[in-house]
Amino acid sequence: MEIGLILAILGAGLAVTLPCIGSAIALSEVGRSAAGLISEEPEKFGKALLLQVLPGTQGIYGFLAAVLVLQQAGLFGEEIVAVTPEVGWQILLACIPITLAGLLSAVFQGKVSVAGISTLAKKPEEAGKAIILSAMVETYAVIALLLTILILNGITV
Amino acid sequence: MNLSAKKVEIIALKERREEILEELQLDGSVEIISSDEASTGEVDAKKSDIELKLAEMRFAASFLSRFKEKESFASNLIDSFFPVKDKYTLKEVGNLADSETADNIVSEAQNLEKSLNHIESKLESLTREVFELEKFSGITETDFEGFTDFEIFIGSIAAEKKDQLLDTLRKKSIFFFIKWGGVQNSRSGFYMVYPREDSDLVDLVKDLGAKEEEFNWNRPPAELLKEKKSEIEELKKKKKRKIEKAKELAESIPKVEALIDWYGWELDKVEAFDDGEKTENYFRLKAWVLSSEAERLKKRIKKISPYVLIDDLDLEEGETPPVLVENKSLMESFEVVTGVYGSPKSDEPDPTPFLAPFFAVAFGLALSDAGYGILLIAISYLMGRKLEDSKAFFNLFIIAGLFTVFAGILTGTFFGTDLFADYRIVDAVADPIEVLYLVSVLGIIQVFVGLLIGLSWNYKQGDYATAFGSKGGSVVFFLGIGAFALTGEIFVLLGSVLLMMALNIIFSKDKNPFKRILSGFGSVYDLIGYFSDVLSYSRLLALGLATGIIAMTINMIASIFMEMIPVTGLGIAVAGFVLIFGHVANLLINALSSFIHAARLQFVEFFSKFMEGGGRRFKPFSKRGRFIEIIKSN
Repeated sequence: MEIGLILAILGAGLAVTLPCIGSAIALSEVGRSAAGLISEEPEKFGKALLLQVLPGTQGIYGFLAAVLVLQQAGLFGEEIVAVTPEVGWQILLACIPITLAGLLSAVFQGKVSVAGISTLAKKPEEAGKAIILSAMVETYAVIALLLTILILNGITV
Repeated sequence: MNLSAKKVEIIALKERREEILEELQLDGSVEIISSDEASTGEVDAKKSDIELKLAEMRFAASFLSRFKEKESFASNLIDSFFPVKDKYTLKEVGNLADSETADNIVSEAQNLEKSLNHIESKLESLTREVFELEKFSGITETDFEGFTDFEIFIGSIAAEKKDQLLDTLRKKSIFFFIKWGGVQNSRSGFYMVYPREDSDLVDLVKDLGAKEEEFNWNRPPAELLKEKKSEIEELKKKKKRKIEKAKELAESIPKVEALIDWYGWELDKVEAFDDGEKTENYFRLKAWVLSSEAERLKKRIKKISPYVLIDDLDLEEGETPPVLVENKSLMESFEVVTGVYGSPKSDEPDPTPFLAPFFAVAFGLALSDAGYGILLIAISYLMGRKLEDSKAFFNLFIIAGLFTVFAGILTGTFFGTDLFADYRIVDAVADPIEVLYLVSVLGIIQVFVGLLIGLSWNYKQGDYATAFGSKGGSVVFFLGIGAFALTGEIFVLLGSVLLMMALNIIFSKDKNPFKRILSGFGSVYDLIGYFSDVLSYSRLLALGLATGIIAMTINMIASIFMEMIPVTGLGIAVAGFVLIFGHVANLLINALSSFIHAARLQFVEFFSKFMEGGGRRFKPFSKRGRFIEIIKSN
């Protein structure tokens, strides 16, 4: 296989794997504290679930970036496009924003969601605000994703 | 609209208090202010009566809820988000309170609880007895009469030591008799008859680990065991009957809940009176009343008793009136968004009508798929019809869905396919920069509108310095951007920046000329803020792409399945499942993040231009229940 293609696949793999790990860590943290709340007040399950899934978006963003990479590298098409080493490096670098920001922002967003679970426990009517606070962190994953998309879009294979 | 409230005092005759408080509660346009006066204890008896009743009913409701028919997981989940209240007319719930329904249900529930507890503890002790008796189950006869020179030892020993026990005893004496019972928990029960003078046999037995068991065998254990077992069966049957009865009674939980609301309102009235100041014949309440409702309320109360005084009060220092945000028809739906942020302050505008168009557009762009828009409208319409109480919420998503369809047409996406690609205006995947321009323009417009609202509001409040200085300056800058975009002349832009600085200097609140000039230069800092505000709208591009590309991937996976599975029907079935499940899940996840991010753009980028928020919500003294809703009788 050509080195360019290898680099592109590496970029796609990292873009999925690291943000997914981040999301998994965050979801497990939120899930654990939500489970505690549910044991007391099972009727709050719906809102707790909402708080839990919030940091899951990073995994999806990573996946999204990977799909774009695979598209660029022609891995979806009938014939594989020749990816030169330069383009391979470009694709790999383009994946870095969402890879790193996705991983870390998910973990930190998880922490805000965990705090949101206690808001939900004490003042369920304010759960909406807890959700917004958690989503604030996600902003930076969105920006990183945007940059990844823009760079990928600019690369000509 | 931000309905402001004013502070009033209501002075009335004590003897008319019930009618007046009932009328106030029915009207629901005042909020009682609790006073610092110590309670005079006049209504303590009544208060504790109601509290006792409430406690009993809450007990009954929570006890009976254990026997409630289990509902499906999905309906529970929907209920936790969108609770539906039972509808009652005032008369219906009043009749219910007057009838003995509540007392009957409560006493029945109490009886049931008592007898269930009784049965439960009886069962427990019987089970324990049976357990102990089981090791003597083989003993069918206990006629110990005639053993005049003998003693009886009743005990149990580890089953594997049975033989050892017999050996030891045989070596010691020949005058003994052992009857074995059975084995329970690997111990064998037995009784031993031995000559009175050989009492050392007991010590021998005990040395081998036998434990003396105390039993009052008036009848043989086998018989006793049978009896106890049938008693257990009887009790279990009885328990089942009681549970059946409890299940039946659980159907009247809604009635109990209605009454919990009703007595809650009664308690509110008593507490409102208790909270107020009192003289021998009069009582005085302080309350917030919605300014628009004050006159009407006055007339309404006067009808009951002409000797009621309702007078305006001045605000105490640091006191701020509560805030009620109210909008009509379609705008009402957007209160959902405002509600997440919280109320504006009492002297700030209600942001709901301003954010409505921007929220809808931002939501549409963030989801941006015509198919998803149609699906969202359909789901919201059906849910809204089913869950009337949450209609405003679902109407919001119908409107948002409509804008999603528009955005989907704009980008030509339909369930992730480019079926309508020929009619699209921009291709977000191939040409994201164009969409980036588009959302930035949206951002510039919204920030500009926010500044205009802030300017006019500050002007109305008489804060001319802020209105013309910082807000006016910024407005000039945005006009400069517009002029620059149209003409392409850079000096228009620079001119607007200079004008902005000048306005800030002229209208600065500082007396010190140095500080005034400094604030003029400081205003350039605001521009960085506006820049990042506008950049923030780029999230709409990323979110729109996210929906579209994931939808595309779902379609691709479905088509791969269809090609991979050679069995004709199965391939289509699996692909169909992937399509339906995938798209619905994608819609739900992305509708959630579209809502959150569209709302965030309002809260952070828009609200900050004209309001702070943090007003206290008006909590009316009213007949608004947790479980029921009062409707007008036909």
